[in-house]
Amino acid sequence: MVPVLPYGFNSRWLRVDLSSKSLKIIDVPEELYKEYLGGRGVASYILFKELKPGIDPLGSENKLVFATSVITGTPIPGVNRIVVAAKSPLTGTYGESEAGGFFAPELKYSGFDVVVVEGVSEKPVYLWIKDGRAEIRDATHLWGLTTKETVEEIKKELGEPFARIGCIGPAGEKLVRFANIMFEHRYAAGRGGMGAVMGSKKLKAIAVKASGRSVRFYDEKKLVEIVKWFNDNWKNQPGAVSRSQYGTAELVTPFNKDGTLPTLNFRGGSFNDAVKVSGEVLNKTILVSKSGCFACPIRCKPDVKGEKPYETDPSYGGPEYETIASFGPLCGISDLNVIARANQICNAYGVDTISAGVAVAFAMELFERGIITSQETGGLELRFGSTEGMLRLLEMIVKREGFGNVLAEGVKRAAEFIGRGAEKYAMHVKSREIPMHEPRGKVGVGLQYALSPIGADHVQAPHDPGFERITQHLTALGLTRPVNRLALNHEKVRAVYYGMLWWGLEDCLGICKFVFTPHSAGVLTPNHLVEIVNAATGWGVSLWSLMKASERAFNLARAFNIREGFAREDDTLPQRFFEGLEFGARKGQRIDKAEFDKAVKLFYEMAGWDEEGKPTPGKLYELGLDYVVEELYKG
Amino acid sequence: MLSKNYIRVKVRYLAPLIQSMVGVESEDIVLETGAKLGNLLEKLARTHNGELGKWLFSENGKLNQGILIMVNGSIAHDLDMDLSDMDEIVLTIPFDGG
Repeated sequence: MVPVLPYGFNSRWLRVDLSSKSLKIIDVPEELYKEYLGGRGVASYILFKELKPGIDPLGSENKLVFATSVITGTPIPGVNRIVVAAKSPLTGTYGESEAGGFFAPELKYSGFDVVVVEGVSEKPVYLWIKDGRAEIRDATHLWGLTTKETVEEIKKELGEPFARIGCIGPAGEKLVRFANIMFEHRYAAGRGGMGAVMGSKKLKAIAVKASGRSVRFYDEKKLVEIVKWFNDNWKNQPGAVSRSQYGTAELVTPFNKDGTLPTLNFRGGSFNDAVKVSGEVLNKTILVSKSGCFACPIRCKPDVKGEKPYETDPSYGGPEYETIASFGPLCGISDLNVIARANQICNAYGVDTISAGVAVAFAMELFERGIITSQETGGLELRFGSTEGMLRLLEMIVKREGFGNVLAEGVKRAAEFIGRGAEKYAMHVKSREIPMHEPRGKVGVGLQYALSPIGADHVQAPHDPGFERITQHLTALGLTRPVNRLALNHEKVRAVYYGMLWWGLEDCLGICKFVFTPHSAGVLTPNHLVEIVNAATGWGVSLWSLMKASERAFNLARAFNIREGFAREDDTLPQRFFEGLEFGARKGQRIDKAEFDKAVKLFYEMAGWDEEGKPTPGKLYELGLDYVVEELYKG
Repeated sequence: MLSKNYIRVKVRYLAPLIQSMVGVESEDIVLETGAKLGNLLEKLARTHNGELGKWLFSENGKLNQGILIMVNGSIAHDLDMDLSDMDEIVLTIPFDGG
């Protein structure tokens, strides 16, 4: 009998054991896709079930998951991100990062929905996947190369100029704890050290190529209709047009005026020279063209060319908001050419620009306070605003040289190593460096930093201004009352909780946060998403069942962390956020610690977690997570 | 000095996209006393070569949800809101991060 192909997925995962050099293709039942969808859902399922608690994230027992979803490969703009997950070497929690570009649809078209890599290779290797087949190839000659060199070498070696490649740079090889995985050397699965996990396995790259499309979708006509609707409508959405013209760099000016632009290691919220690093100036100076991701007409990614002496290669992509803010205002730097150069160093060596920028700003503050001196920094005068100091220290981090070797461990470990009160200036949650969104001016962002299963992260839920007025898009999610951005009441907790489930669903499906409402750049709505999943799979799901899948993944990631020993005291913020902003448009504003703790407790109650933040058996059974109950409540 | 029949309000354009359409960061607009927020927006929609008008209102004449308007620092939910002399109105795109 000829097997009936499913709709929306290949039903096949590739499992790679680098220790034994074995490759296994496994068939996966449809029920699993229905419950977990893909992305975070599938990754959290695999990691919870297969990793023993307490393992070394950089040891052979960790597993690295590359996951697509049931809608990856459809022609819908913004739904084709790859989700990469493992136990994070930076945080020790469930770790996850996503990247745009073209890798995810290529992987799925090549016949696999998911790749799970385990074990450690004796020597450097790369994985080559084409049309349902895979092989492990020697990468000794690639070890030490930058990401661009790696991509070019592999394409040449395979004779496949259109292969899509995810790889690590030298920083991943050297196990920098916030090393990333770069796709085509410009799309980053940036956060949480997934590149270090790849480096620990001696896996330099994964290359994929599909000659055709292995997967089929249930209602292709409907998918095309939605694409047409998108193309007819996105130019009527001011947020989408603005994002298309300015990229995320458009956020610099309004955040600065609002007093929520992180400045000088989060001491203040406004930067005198913000205009010099704004999206408007970027467009007029170093921008040479725009790029985008698979099937997306918005093309929000800048290609830039820096001026002498900071020339940059446009193929690495340009700095986006997070990168501009972290190497700019956070370090007191106002030269876009320098920031573009820092961005290129990060992309070439393969490190997360947020963590790297926060690490440099942390070192600058320690230096200015006299906690470290030029003796420790190898002669560097690390003052805020020092462009040469910033670039040199960044190079030392990505190469693990001198004091850079200390910072390559992340700010939490670096502070512990330095001592002398350095921890007070280490801006992180669960060891993960704080992104470029000031929670003292949008306190719900602080809640998502504290409650995110992966440590401080800014794309766990829509930000507070999005909840200040009720639009039809929020109504679709069940939110009908506006909440002030500074409120930390039950309304805000509910908005953040629903928001985390909605954006968590986007991570289960590999969706860009900018494409769907209620994000201000959003074009498609939550109801469109239901249509897309049904057109891809033919399942007949509702928004309710999709949100339940997201909640399932959220609880799995939480359970993973509970099993690793994380508890109530880890769901908090750096002390600095409970003190007033030192300068800027919101000078003096702070988060009230008692109110914040109360909000965290309320969040637990809404989520069905106990007072320690542990999911209750009732909640886990309700989500169909019987095996998690058995694991968390055994004995 | 305006007569008591008129009021002057300050309009600030916060988003780079809107600034590029209107060509200024802010401007003073004179309205008849008793004018409402909707009157101001209709006036703005007619000026600047009609560019802004395409963004302010959706096809059914309602305020485009992709535009955020604040009056004296508070989000405006109602086009019938009365305006007063020296009011500051901010027109922007609601930037919510990411």
